[in-house]
Amino acid sequence: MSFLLQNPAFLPLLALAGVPILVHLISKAKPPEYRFSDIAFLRKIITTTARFKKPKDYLILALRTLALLALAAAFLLPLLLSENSTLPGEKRTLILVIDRSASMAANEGAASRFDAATALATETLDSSRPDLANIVWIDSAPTSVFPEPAPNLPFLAEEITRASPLPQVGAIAPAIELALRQLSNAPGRRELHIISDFQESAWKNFSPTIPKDVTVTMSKVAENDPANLAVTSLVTIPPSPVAGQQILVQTRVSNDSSEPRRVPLTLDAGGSRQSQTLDLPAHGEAEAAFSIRAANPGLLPIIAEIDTDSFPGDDRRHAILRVRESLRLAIAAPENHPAAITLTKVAAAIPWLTAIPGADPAKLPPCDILCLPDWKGTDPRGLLKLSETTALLVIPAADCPAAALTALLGEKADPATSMLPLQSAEAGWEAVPTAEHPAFRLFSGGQFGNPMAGKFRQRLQLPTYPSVETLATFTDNAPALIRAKDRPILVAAFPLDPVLTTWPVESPFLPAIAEILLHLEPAIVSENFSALPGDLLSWTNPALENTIIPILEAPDGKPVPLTASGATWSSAAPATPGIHRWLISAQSVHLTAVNFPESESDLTPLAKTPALSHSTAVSGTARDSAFAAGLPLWPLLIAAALLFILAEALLAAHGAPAPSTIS
Amino acid sequence: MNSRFLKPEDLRRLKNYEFGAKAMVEGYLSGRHRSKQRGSSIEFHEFRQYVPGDDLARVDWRVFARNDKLFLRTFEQETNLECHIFLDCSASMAFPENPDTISKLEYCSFFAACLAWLVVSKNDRVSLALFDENIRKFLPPASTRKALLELLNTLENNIPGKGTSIIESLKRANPLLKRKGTLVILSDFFCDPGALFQALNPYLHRGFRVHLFHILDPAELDLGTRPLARFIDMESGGRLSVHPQALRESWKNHLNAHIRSLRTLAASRRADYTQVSTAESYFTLLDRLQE
Repeated sequence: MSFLLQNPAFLPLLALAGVPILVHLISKAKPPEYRFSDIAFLRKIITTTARFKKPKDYLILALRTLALLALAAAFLLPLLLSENSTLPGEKRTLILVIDRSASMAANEGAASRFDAATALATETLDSSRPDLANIVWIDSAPTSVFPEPAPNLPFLAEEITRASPLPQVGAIAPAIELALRQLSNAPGRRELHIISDFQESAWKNFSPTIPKDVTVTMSKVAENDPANLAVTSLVTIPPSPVAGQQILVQTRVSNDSSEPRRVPLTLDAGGSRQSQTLDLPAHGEAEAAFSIRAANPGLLPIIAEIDTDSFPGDDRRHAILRVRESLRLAIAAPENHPAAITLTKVAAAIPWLTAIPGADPAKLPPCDILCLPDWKGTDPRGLLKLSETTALLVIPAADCPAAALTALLGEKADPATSMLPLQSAEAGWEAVPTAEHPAFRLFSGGQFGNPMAGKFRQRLQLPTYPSVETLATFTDNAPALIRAKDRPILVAAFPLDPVLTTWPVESPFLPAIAEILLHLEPAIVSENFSALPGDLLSWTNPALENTIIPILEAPDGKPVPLTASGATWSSAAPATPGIHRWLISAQSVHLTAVNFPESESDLTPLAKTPALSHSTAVSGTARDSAFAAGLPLWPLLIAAALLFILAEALLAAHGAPAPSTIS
Repeated sequence: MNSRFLKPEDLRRLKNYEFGAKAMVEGYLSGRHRSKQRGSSIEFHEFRQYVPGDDLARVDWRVFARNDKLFLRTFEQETNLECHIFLDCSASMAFPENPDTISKLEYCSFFAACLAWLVVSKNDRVSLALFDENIRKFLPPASTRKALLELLNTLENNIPGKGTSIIESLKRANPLLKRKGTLVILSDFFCDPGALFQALNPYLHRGFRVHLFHILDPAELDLGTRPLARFIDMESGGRLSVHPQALRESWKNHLNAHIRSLRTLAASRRADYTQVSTAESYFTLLDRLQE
């Protein structure tokens, strides 16, 4: 709160307050003399009445002084101003930070949160009339209407009416940072007005550093927590299947309402539709699993959706699957290598497997799995990097350093071991799979026998690593097949040479190696089929051909403007949720799925606006503007003066007894 | 008779007045006033038997001739009246010190002059005692014209004195008054009523008829309408800043209580008390004496 005097020229009038005191002092100091017959009686009277008279006199004097003071102050026309209001002549810069994230599209009664935000922003601009203003939108990539605050308020108001919420996650911190950066160069009083639904999931950790000279006002436009159903997850296993392979599609649906719901969930996989009914608990979620089979190789769009509710943006979810024609198995060994011969025979027997013998790891052709027979421990770090996109089947050689294998598996090196010990036995060792491993689930019934059947006459004594996964062990519990925990790296302790093992000639070998290879495929697909809302989509022509101009078709069927950089094409507009199709000659060459941000589905607002040490949170602007304009105090002062005069009169009259006569 | 305090119009008016004492008085001059002291006069009182020692001249020989018994013929004695005027001449009696307004002392002097003339005109005797802290001047009782002139001169030349001690003055005046009579005290009575009547007790016991005339200026009755002023005590010189308007009611209450006290004590001692404002005519006091 601060005061402003509109008529400071009348300030000397305040000296009037001293008049009663002056009169009191002067009259007390030298009153006129009056010779009286006897003052002994007067002394007695004064003695008895003084203790009542003196406080009363002082009170009367104080009331008279206050009355004059209030009267004189009224002439100064004081204004009571709020802390946020500006002093006359002071420039004001206001930046409105308006949340335009997906949750702002939620309805609060008849209008959406964003409608309320724009109405409030317009009212703020109209009522506060700042000298300079700007709007910063809280989007995934925050932007401002003007590069710097500008005086063109009508344009800002027009921008507000044109704006609509975007299906994006709002980047709050960058937006505030952008607003503060613009304010830092602004003259005069600086104000930041944040208008948002203060969605709990987005704002709960909001703690910006606001300069002390910036006045922050937060206006919350969300009052309720509207009921919302959302498809929050869509996952396929495996992520990149082979044609004909069974695919498991897992979806999750959340219920953000206080009542349990029963909703039908539909899955559309390339035109093939399945449906399930889900029972959703209140404020809970449920999962559904669909099993599909992609018959043909190519890109398979998958859409999971529920019935449209009041917040429709998150009612469907998309995924793109690349269904491969076959798994490509590159073999880093000459064609006449026993392992290459064995695996080539396997590839010939399995329709979805293609063997590429004689591959050079340094110039690796496109492949899904790389087999390294007789690996001598070379470049474990390079292989580790390669495992991010390509699965590795490693058969260490007899002179392979144990440290290289340890590094390949991402384990800590043991300095005690140098080379992997090679063991040979004419009788050989038998091996058994680990029962619970999914690669051998096919054999769990027993009708296909032991997948690791046969004799292994030579083996490497693999070290025991605590974090690796053991797929099979020899009968003496020595590890036979191990797999790195988080990477598709499989290490075999035995060679695939039919001379040294009878396993390749056993009947379970073919299904066993097929299952092992299928479960070895890399979890991370190198191709990117998904993007976030607001991102700029891009696609690179695999043929590196830049003369062919693709067309990007938005989910609504409209083309999206593109920009080219060599053979890479990028969209010029931010992506919206749905499946975007890259077309060449009306043929779909690439698909990109853009999903509604999962975090925006939780519409619960914060109970109150985030606390800032020097901020003020208000829900409206009427009071703001009233205080900003200043509250005139002169009527109150006049009233106070009259009150003081009345009190003085009453006090002076009080205690005076009824007139009496001398008889 | 040319005097400041005895105006011709007052003299004309006084001729209609008669000073009569309610109480019997002692006197040596056979006159109009009855006395219980038996003596020679023409008004028969009673017969009584002779007892040795009686004056043989007062024996009624005619009764002795008829009854052979000695009887004395007694008469009611008519004697002259003595009026003792006690006039307060303290400084407070000079109030108000305004040349346009009559002061209390002047008011009392006018009354004293009229009373003295009235008493002397009836061949009664009048005395005058001027007092402040003490008896300043005492004119013994006399009924002559010369004594009256002296009294008038004394009043004219009288100036207000200093403080008041009416009690001390009454004590000192007691031996000066040989015969009982009417005691008229003119004062503003700014004193303790109890002490005053204690000082009056000897006079009341001796059979004096006491008249207390309480003379006050109108400004003393309600403190006037002036604003805040520094009051200066005319007797002690003490100073006190007073807002009369604020104290008026308290003053009135206090003065009322004082007057009530004087009146009550006077009634209990069979004395006469009258409070008069100087705004009223001093003939009011004469009227009061005639009642």
